[in-house]
Amino acid sequence: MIAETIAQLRQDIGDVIDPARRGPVVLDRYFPEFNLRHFAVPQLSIGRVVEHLLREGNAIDDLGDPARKLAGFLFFAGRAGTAFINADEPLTRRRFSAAHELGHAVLHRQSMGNYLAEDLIDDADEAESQREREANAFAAELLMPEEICRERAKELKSQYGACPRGVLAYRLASELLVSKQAMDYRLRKLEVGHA
Amino acid sequence: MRDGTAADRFFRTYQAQFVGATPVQPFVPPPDADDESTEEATPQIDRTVEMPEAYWKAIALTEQPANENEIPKRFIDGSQKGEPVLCIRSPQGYPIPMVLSEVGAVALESVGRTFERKFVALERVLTFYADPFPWEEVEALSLDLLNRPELKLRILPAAPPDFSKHSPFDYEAMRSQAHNRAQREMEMMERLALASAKDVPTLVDGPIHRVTSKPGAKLLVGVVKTHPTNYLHDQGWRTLLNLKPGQRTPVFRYESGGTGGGNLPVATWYLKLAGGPRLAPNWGYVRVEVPWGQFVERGKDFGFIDRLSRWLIDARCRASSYARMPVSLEPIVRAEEALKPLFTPTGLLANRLHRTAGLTEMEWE
Repeated sequence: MIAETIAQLRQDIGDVIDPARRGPVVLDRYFPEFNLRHFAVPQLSIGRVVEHLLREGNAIDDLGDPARKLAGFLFFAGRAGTAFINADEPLTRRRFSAAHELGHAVLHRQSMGNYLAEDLIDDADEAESQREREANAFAAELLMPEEICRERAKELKSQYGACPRGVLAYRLASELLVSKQAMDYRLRKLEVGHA
Repeated sequence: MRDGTAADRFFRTYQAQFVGATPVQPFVPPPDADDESTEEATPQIDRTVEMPEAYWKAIALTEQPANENEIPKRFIDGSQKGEPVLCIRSPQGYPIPMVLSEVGAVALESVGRTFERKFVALERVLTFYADPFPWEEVEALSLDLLNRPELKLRILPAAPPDFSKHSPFDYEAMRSQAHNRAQREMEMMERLALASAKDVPTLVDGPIHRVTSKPGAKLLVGVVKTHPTNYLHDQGWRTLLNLKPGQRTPVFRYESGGTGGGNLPVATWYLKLAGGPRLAPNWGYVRVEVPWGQFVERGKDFGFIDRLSRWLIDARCRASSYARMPVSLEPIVRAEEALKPLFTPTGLLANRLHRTAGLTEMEWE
């Protein structure tokens, strides 16, 4: 279902997957489609989010303990939304987090209310865990398109006669601007490359 | 003329300046772990494999020739050629070098008395510590540089230096991290070279864990020229420093506790390739590695170690014009020679990048 949602999304914004073109998916293009902006905030916490939202003139309810540390935060005021990610994370992690928040906006907008706060320490209940898994799957599917993974594996195999997963993960991680760990996990799931 | 591309905007926003291969400053930080390394646990060394530690002594090699399955047929070498070509300033003001490199690997196979090139891979990369920059700008830059036919540059985001040891304003620390990341890319190409013919007995320039964590059944030999790690006890050092050409130390077993050694146990020993009155005692020897599993498969046969060592001595480089001759093997020197001419001169690539960035010497001087 997530794969179909993303395929539709790509079609809507005209982002056709072309294996001949190299480089990362332009994630930044997807945010305006959902009236969404993204901000990287150092030491992300409820307090920092509130500060930012008030500064922008938003009327907000009590969001809880200002000291509560966050991994991400998604806020909607009417149809416009803001995704907050932690600026202290490495670039690839920040990008994945942004895609993850976009995933929530696409998949869970109806069920999430005005905001969705994600804690650093995962103590989510079953429903939340399901949502988190879906948002992660969305981010992985969007940033690491299956077609590209398979095509690059094919290229490696035809050019060099081998496609070790570790090597492919390294190359693709830098091309697609994701972490090596995320890439490795994705290739395992897709069963692309050999051990 | 500025063309308003993503690369142009990025370089302009972050005040790109020309830099070159300036001499390394007096304080050079040690390479920090990159993003793929984890904390090293205590390595495990067993120096009693061949004889008790206290009785270590030099072992003279047999003249017996190696069997067909005891010598490598394929030789893998990797290389990285690059230098900082631009320095950008992060939003916090950190000076961040962008290192433009070509990285590659080659595999030669011995066919009769000659070597044939069986594998070659070469790529251009631009390495820098990218974390301080907005991801959407790096995303756009990456797409731009990779799809320009004259450049085809893949961005490699380098890991940060250890900020508990280095200031983020330390240019050398940033440069070192970029260099390490490009080096890692070169190792990936060496891995690919090995994977492309795993059933051929192979020798690699460097430690084995760099090219595989799961060696196949066929012979794999690593020859290490540099020795930053201390594996020896005092008697081991005395033995090593007294080795004469054609002698080796006893075999010991080494297993790294972390990813640095890839948790791949090896049978290893030092072998003196060259010596003479004008060579310092810490020069002229290499450390040889064979996967421990392969050594056990061969019944922990020290005769095999001797015969392989003898073959290595015979294969040593004899060209006195070659600076690293005392620690080099002829097939690896040949591999290097096969790879180097394929590199594009860095100055040429740097010019193309500068043009892409809309930079000209006059504009920025």
